[in-house]
Amino acid sequence: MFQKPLLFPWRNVVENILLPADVLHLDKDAARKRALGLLDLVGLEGWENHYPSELSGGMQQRVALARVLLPDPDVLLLDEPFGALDEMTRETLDLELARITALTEKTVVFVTHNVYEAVLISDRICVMTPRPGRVTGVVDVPIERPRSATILSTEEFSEKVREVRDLIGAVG
Amino acid sequence: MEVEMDADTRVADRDGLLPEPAETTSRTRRWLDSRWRGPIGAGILAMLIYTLWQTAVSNAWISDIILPAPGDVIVAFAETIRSGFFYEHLWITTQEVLIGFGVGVVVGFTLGAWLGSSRLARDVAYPYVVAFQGLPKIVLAPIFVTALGFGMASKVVMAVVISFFPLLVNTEAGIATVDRDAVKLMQSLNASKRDIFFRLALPHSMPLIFAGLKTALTFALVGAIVGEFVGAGSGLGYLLESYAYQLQVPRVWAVTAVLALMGVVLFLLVDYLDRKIVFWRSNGPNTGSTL
Repeated sequence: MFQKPLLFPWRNVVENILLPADVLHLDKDAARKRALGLLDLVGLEGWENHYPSELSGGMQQRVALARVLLPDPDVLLLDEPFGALDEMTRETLDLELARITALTEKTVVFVTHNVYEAVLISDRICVMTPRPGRVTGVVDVPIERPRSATILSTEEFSEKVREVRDLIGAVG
Repeated sequence: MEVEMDADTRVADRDGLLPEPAETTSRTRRWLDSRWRGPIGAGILAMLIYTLWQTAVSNAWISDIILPAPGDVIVAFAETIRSGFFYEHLWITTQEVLIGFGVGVVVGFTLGAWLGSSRLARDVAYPYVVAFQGLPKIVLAPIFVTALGFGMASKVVMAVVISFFPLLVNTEAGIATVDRDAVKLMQSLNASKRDIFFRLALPHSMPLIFAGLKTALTFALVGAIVGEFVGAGSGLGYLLESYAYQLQVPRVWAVTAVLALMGVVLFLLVDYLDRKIVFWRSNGPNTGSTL
């Protein structure tokens, strides 16, 4: 997944989710069924025939998430997928992502510049230096799942944020 | 606030949901706000032009050898479209335009797609593209007439040469402006070059390609007429020139009107296809991606 949703405006929502099926020549009927299931999973049931321009930024990234999940990959590589969204939407989508990837048992490599976001969704955080990119420290986040926004105000959460910040500080 | 309410009532009224307004003034105003506003305005403008035209001719502000009275042109127009030979000329020119446009589109699209997809092709061919762009292509008409004769072939070639260019440039621009990240997305799915072209680059380029088609169509008409001017025994351009030599000025204007009509009809045809095929453009500028 990219920073932009990169939905194709000439395809409606379900057709966008089916893009990998078209390119990978997956069975059409099965893929369609799966796409509609994924649409429910990302909370967009009933939106399959709408076009991307009718969707908000958050909804577009939900569609992009469904699209990346369609071919059932083992690992998801997400490069700041919610970076362009407002704080509230980002938080919602972070938690949704955590729920969905737990449900579908995916490994996720998630790139972000937002420390709170990292702590909120991660099992393990690798802090990297800018240019050249090197790992300077690894922080495990043993906060219980499923997580909700309430953990944002816990002592454990603040502790982890401080730990990551210290590592970044050491880099800078 | 008032403006907003107006817009709302207008939309609702289109579905016949609102009762008739009580006040005459507001009814008139709403009527002027309606979708007939444009056509009515255009009609009024036509009447103004007609009056101005008639006045200019009546007062001899302009010689009727250059611009005859509008009534004379209308009479000439009616006479022209009732004569049998007119349709022969119309058919010749129509064929020249359509064949020239069709070939020009295929040539322009193919070259444009090639230049858009291949960096090497672009680097090698672009200087020539630019040079050709700068050339006023109608200067080639005498050469084509000399080479291919007074028949349709020279006009078709002229129409091709003049109309393939906007399509080449727009197709190339469309394909060259595909979002790099969208290409990466396709590559992450292991998409073939063919898939990237047909599923991403081509649909992405459609708005520009249609803009190119509209220009190309007008250009094809210009090419055919210029070819006929330079040397032909039939066609509307030939007919127009013959009338001009005979100083049958109302008929010259009548043929001009026919050519304008032809251009409009062909344009509307392409415009209709444009709306059907590039439906997503009307969804507004925010498509969520840069595509």
